[in-house]
Amino acid sequence: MALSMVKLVEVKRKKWQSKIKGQVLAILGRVLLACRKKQERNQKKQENANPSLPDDLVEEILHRLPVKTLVRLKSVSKEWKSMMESSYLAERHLRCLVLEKKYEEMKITVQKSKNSLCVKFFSKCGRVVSCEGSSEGRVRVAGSCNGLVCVHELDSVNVYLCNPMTGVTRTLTPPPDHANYNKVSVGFGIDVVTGTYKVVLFYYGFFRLLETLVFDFGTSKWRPRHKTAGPIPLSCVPSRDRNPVFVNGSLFWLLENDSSEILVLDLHTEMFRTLSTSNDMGVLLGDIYIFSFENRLCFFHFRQIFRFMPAASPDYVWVLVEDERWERITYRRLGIRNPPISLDSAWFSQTLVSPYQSSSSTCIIGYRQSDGDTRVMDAPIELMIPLF
Amino acid sequence: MENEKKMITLKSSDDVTFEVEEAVVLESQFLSHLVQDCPAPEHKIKEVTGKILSKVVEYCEKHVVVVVDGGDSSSSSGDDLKKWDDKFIKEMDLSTVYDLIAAANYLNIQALLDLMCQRVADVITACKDHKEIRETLGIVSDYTAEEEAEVLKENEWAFD
Repeated sequence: MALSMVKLVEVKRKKWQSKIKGQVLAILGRVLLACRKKQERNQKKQENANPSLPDDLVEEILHRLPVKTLVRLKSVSKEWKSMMESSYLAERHLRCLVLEKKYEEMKITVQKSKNSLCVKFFSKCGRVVSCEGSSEGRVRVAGSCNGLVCVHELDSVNVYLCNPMTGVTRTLTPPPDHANYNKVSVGFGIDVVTGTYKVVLFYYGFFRLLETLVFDFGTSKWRPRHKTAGPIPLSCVPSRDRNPVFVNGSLFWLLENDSSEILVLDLHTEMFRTLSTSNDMGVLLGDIYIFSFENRLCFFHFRQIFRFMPAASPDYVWVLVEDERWERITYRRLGIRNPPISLDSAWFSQTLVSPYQSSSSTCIIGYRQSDGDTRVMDAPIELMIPLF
Repeated sequence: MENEKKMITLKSSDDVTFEVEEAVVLESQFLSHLVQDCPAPEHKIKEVTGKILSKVVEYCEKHVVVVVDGGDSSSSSGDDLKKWDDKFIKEMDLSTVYDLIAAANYLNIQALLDLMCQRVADVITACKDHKEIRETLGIVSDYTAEEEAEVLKENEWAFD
C-alpha cells in the first residue's frame, strides 16, 4: 500500500516536472522567437531605409502611375515635386498613356467665378471639392487636347490655357489692338505633324472683314495664318453658338447661317477648306451639333420635338469616314452618354502636360472608353483653379 | 525538340553559379548578345548578386517553359503565368524589387522590368497619404511645416 503511494507520488512528480519543463521551454521559445522577429524587422527597416534606385529607373516607375497619384507625390519632398513638374516626365507619361491606351476621356465643364475657373468632371478616381461662388463671367471652352483645356471669356479677349490636374493656368497675351476686335470664335488643338499646340481666333477686323490669328506657342505671340494658307472661304462665318471640334489635326466649325457646309482648318498647313453635308442628314430638321468620337467627327441634330428635353438623345448620328463620306450610326451603338455639346464642355483626359509647353511628341485622340464599366459614374470632381 | 539542350552557366557577383538552358538565357537581350559574341561555357555577371540572379533565373525559366508549352492552350497558360507572376511579386519585399528592377534593366529583360515597375507603382498607389508614401519609399521630407501645408492644400483633391 505504502509502496504504491510512493510510486503514485513519484509518477505525479514526474508528470509535473515534465509539464513545467515543457512550459518553460515554450516560454523560452516564444521569447527567442520574438527577439528574432524583432531583429528581422529591424533588418528589414534598415534595408528599406535607403532604397537606392537610380533616377532613370525611378522615372520608369513614375510614368506608370495615374495622374492623381503623381499629384500626391508632390507633397512627399521638394525633389519629388520638381520631378512631377518636369516637362520631361509629362511627355513620357503622355507617351505611355497613348502607347498603352491607358487614358480615359471624360466630359469636362468649365465655369468662371471671380478669379478662378471652376472645373468639373467625372472620373473613376477623384473626390468632390466644393465650388464656391456662382459663375460670373461667361466662358466658353475652345477645346481640350492632351489634358490642356482652352477657355475664353465671352465678354473679353482673355484666353486661358489650363491643366486642371496640375492646376497650372496660363493667360495668353492678348492679341494686338484687341479693343478693335469683335471675337467670333476660338479653337484649340494640336498640329499633329509638328506636335505644336495652336489656338486659332476668328474675329471681325476693320471693314467688318472676317480675319484669323494663330497663337504661336514658340514665340508666345499672336500671328496671322501662314501666308501660303490662302484666304478664308467666302461667306463662311463660324457659328457663335457652337464650339469648334478638334479631330485628327483639324478644327471643324459649324457655320452661322448655312448648315450645308462645315468649315475645316488643317492646323499644320493652316489652310481652310469646306466639307459638305448631304441632304440625307436632315440638316434643316433641327438644332445641329458636332462632337468628336474616337478620332472621328460626329454630326447630329436634336429634332424640334426634343428641344426642351435636354436629356433626350438623338436616334442616330452621322460619322465622317474616309473619303469625306458620312455614315449613319445608331446613337446607342456609340455607347456614350452625353457628348460635350454644350458651350462650356469638352472631352478631357488627365495628363501632366503644362500649358507653357509649346509642343508634345504625341497626341491623345478623341474619346476612348475606359475598360471598366462606364455606367458606374462616380461623384464629379470639382476644382477651383485660381487665375492670375 | 528532345535534342540535347545547350546548357550555360551564369555566375553572380558573389560567385553563385546557375546552370540554365540556353533558351532561358535568351529571355535577356543582354545575355543573348553575350552568349552569341563569346561562346564561353561560363559567364560572370558582376552587377547582380546570387540572391537576385536566382530570382531572375526563376522568372526566366518559368516564362520560357510556358511560352514553349503555349502552343496548345495559350490562353489558359497565359492566365497561369499571370497568377504565377502575381505570386512571384507578392513574396518579395521592396528592396528585393528594387534590386530586381536594376538587374532587369541591366540584363535588358523588358517583361520583368515592366512587372517589377508596375509592382512599385501599385505599392505607391495603395498608400493613403504622403506620410505613408515617404515611409514606404524611405524618402526624407525637406519641406518646412508651412511649405508642406501649402503643397497639401494646393493638391488637396488628390487625397481621399
